[in-house]
Amino acid sequence: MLKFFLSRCVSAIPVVFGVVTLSFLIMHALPGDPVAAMLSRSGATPAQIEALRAELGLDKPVVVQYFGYLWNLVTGDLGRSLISAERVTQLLADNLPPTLLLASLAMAVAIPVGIVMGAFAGIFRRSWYDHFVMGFTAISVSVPAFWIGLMLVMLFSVQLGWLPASGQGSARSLILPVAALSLGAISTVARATRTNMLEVLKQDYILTARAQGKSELSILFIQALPNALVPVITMIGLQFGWLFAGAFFIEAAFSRRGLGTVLVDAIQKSDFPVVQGAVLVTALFYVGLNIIIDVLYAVIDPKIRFD
Amino acid sequence: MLSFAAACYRHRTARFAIAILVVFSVLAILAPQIAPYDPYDARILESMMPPSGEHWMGTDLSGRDIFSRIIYGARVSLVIGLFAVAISCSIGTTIGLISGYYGGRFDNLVMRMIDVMMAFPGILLAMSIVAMLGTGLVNVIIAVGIGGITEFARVSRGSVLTIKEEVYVDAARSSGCSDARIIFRHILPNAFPPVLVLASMSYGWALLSATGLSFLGLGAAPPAAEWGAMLSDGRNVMWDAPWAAIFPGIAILFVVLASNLLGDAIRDILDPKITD
Repeated sequence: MLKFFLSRCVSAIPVVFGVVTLSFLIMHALPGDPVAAMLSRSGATPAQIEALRAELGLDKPVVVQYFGYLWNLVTGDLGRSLISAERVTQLLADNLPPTLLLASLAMAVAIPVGIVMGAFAGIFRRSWYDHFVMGFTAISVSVPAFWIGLMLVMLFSVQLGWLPASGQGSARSLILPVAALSLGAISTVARATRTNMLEVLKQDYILTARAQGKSELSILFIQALPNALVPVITMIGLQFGWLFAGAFFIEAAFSRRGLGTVLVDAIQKSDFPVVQGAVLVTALFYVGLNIIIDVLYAVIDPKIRFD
Repeated sequence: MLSFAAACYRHRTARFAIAILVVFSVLAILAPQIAPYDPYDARILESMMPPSGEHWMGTDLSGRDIFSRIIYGARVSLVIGLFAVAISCSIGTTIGLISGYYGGRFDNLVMRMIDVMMAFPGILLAMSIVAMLGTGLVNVIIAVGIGGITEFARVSRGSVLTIKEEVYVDAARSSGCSDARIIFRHILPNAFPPVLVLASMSYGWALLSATGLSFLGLGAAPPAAEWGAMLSDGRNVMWDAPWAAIFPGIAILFVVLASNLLGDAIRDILDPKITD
């Protein structure tokens, strides 16, 4: 098992390297000068532009800058914000936890709800319930999650006055954002579970179990469902990455502090070190998550290990 | 081609989806004729009026007619989706075809690069590109387009791998066709069905991403009649004029739902085996 984990980590190295390079390119891919572009908006003098270029090391050759960037990463230095001069690592450390919390809670809601919803839709195929689930999921993946968030606020905050429309502190202020964010993931998990459930119910071993006179309940939930869930696990990994990025929009809709707010603000102000840091962290998180999912997958389904 | 159109017409979901898309396209094309008001005409005295016979969907903070803005917004939003998918599809499919056809080390390298791009959730990749190019509607289209390339490359490469083993490809090669001719005249038409399904699905994804980026203030700037920017406007007056945020979202829902359903339907029609 450890060997599989290590081999999976090794095969992720080129991807991590690529992610780092891509985040470096955010500031360097375009001809022209990001500092001049940024400062010209605020009306800086050429001398100020030169000073900032020197400070960021932009006056050195690109290759030198690239290795400097790599070296800084190894030493855990992501530079400083061009606007607030705050350390990027500090900024990320402050703003990553709320986003992570939001995404994790949404995932924690989406997995059981989606599985239950999808499993029953598969079992009662073509019933009114199945049609309802299919309709519900089709609609909820077709609307922006942040719009769902706004609708929930209108209903539960503006009309009914039950829950806060924005804010950070209390657990109550998390309910609507988590609901809005989880909806899309619930639908994706439900659809995948339904499809796999239908697939599994066609298998011979289910027929065998029926022939042996096992109770329908044990056939569905002990024989069929666990097998139907194996492929769903990989999908959950992908979904989590999407939820993490989706949280950026939810933060904007609910005026919550988080990585998304920081990233959007930095993009608008061309604060490149912050953009690089936020993008890098999100992408690395996604890569790491997929390794974990792969390993989990191999633990559950031993066939994978020999591929 | 004709039989494909006929099959689409016979397929109930396809008919429904196409009908929605046709309605929105007509609204977009005939916007100046259909819209009752100028979408940019701010009448401050008519600010935040609820839906009525005069203003079917009410007015926004500046007193602009929301129905007219949604109709004009269809022009922007539908075109964003088209251009973004055109970028993803043309570049992605070309990469996938060439990479899959030649295989070997080149294919390996290309797939590694695709892996790296896939390490970014699509929307994050799009945001990074907006950070590079700067904010604005055109840059958002480019960014969303690039964000979708990987899927097209993967899907088209997948079908090339099976198609290039077919006898007719051998036949083309032995009759002296150039590689370019084999790829684009013989392989592409046969690799096209899954790409078409993906294109339809991506259209919805592209529209959602672009409106999302505009909502964040990275795309179309606020006075623009664009659905995402309208939602961002509507959010600010959510307490007093909920209609300003409700209707643009419903418009997005219809178009994205239609393109997703159309994708499903095309897959059904082209490959009835995988229907559940």
